[in-house]
Amino acid sequence: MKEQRITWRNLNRTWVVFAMLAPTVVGVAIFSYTPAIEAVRHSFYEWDGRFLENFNGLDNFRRLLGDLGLWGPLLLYGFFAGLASLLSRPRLRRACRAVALVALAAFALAAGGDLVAVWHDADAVQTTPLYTAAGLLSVAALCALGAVRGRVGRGAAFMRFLALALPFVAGLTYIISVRRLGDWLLWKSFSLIFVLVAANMLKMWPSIFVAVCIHRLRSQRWQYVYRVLFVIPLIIPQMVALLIWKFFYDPNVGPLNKFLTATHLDSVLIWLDKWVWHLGVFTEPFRPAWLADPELIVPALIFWGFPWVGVVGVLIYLAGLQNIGKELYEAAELDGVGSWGKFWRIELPLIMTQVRLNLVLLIIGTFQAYGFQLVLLGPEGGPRNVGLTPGLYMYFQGFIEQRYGYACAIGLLLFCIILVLTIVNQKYVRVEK
Amino acid sequence: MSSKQAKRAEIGKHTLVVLVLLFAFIPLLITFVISFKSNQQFAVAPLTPTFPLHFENWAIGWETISGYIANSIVISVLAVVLTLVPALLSAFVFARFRFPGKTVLWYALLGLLFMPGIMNLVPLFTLLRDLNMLNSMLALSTLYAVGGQVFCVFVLRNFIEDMPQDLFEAAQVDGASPLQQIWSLVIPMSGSILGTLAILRFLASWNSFVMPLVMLSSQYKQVIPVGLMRLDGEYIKLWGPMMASFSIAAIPLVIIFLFTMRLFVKGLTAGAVKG
Repeated sequence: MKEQRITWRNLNRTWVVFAMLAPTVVGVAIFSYTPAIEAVRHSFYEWDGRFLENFNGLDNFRRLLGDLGLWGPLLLYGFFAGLASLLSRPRLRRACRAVALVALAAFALAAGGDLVAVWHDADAVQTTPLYTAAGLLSVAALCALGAVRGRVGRGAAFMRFLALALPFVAGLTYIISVRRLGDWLLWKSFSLIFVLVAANMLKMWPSIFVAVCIHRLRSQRWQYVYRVLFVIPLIIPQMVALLIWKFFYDPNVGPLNKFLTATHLDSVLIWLDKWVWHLGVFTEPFRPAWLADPELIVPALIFWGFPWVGVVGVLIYLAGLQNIGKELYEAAELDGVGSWGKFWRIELPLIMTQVRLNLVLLIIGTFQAYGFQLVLLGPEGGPRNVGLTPGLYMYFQGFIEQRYGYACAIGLLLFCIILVLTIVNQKYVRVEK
Repeated sequence: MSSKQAKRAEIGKHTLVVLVLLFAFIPLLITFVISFKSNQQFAVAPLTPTFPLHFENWAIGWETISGYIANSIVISVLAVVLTLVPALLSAFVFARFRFPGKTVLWYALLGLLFMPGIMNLVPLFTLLRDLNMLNSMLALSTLYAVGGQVFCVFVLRNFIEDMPQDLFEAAQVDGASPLQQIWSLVIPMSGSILGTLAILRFLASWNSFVMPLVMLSSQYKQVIPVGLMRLDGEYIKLWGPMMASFSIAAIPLVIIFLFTMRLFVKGLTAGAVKG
């Protein structure tokens, strides 16, 4: 039987059903939708959360991003280029691409005029990023050529994607690095995000290896035992794990420094610092403050969680690995495939779904994370704001500086970025059967 | 492959996994060892066990954080109840009834899954202030409940739709109201999934840190993560009691884990996949 049909007319009998929906709907409306709408509204206000509430149009965004005359066409281009790759109807697609090209041309015009205007002031124009931007553009052009010439297929689709995406990146490079527009603390926080995402991509591998190791064990009993053991670290409250790692990095009593001194690795680090790195962080006596020295914060954040076996990650991969049939292994063994071959040819391709999913969750998570940095480094993100993430910057502007409107604008920007990431994820990282 | 070689490979895998596990557990071991030290013992030998063992550290630790633990338990349990009861009700309605505006409502709810919570923090704070709900544990639980609501409704709707629908028909013929159907059909059959969701939501609210930091101002209402952070931030650290309180903070979850191990493993695997 299908679902029961309910209308407004016989409400005296069916009100129970609507009453059952009410708690969820009311709760979500009050505590999820209202704040979201308020956030969007207040990003156009100067707002201290209490008395001061002035509409100031796009001022927040101007302060955040810089010259909106440059950003407008670029964002328009990004939007329509993205839309063109999402649509399936060729006609709409072509239309979108045309609009995107017009927007790109507008951006080029604006940037060109702007460049001529500042050319007299030689210091204002930075040449290295300018060359980078130009290089990216030419690569994009080459990709476009390749896509036109290449046959239909994955390679051509990828080329087309590059041809659309690279001009956008070049524009970003131009606005952020060449013109140095907008809130530089925000750009700094984004650069930290890129470093962390890159590090996290490398930190994914140990979990995969461990999952494969557990999966390949002969006895089912041990597999189960290990699975349970891997759950146990999750019941440690996250805050405790975090504070233990903080203790681990403590300059005076922390085990890390004690370990380095005991194994005489400290003299190696001091030598390297003296002759190679020239940072002046590792000196005699060996007491590096891992979480207080601006040069060391990012390495410390990257090393965090050694040996990087994410418990949840292992469990996800194990779940994926269990779906692999026995016949595949038997066939591979008959063909004389070694254990590396099995890993690259069977296991990795078949858990690629989980790997990609994990990767996307990880990137989105890194963009949103700030509690961690707040505990370790304080709301400013440590000395010289080295550990500032975008989310932390929003927290800082809102709750420390009391610039709620500005904080809402940062939040809105983050929201848009994460939304785009989610859409890209839905489109390209789909679960393949 | 000879059996000897296979055995050696097997031992290699075991060693690797055990090594990794050791690394995961060493921090806990260190915490445990330090929790029995006085500050003098800690200064001399921070990582190796020393005697006499100072059991009073645990008493001090318990005294400092028992209040936080109680608050955390109240808030998290309340959050789980406030999440699951409305979620179950509305999931049942979505699964079994067709009403005007259902699709729109459903997508309005689903959209929230993709909405990053980060944007909401500042307006949520002012909203609670205007509603005079700041510094209230009930309000904090409500926030957690609303935050986990959509995911639970989504999972439960799928679950109820997968149940044999004849059951509901039979119940209807017998004149059972929707609430009676939930009580005597859905709940008995969905014990495992409800348990899993409850554990996931409990963990999420237990670990949540920024929300209570922003929303609760009274020290005596504060929850365990914030309490631990304040403890760590004190200028003169008493390492022994501090580490003892770290260990105590894990005990409630350990107890839950002992009773619901299977749900735990299942929930963390499945829940993580669905994100």
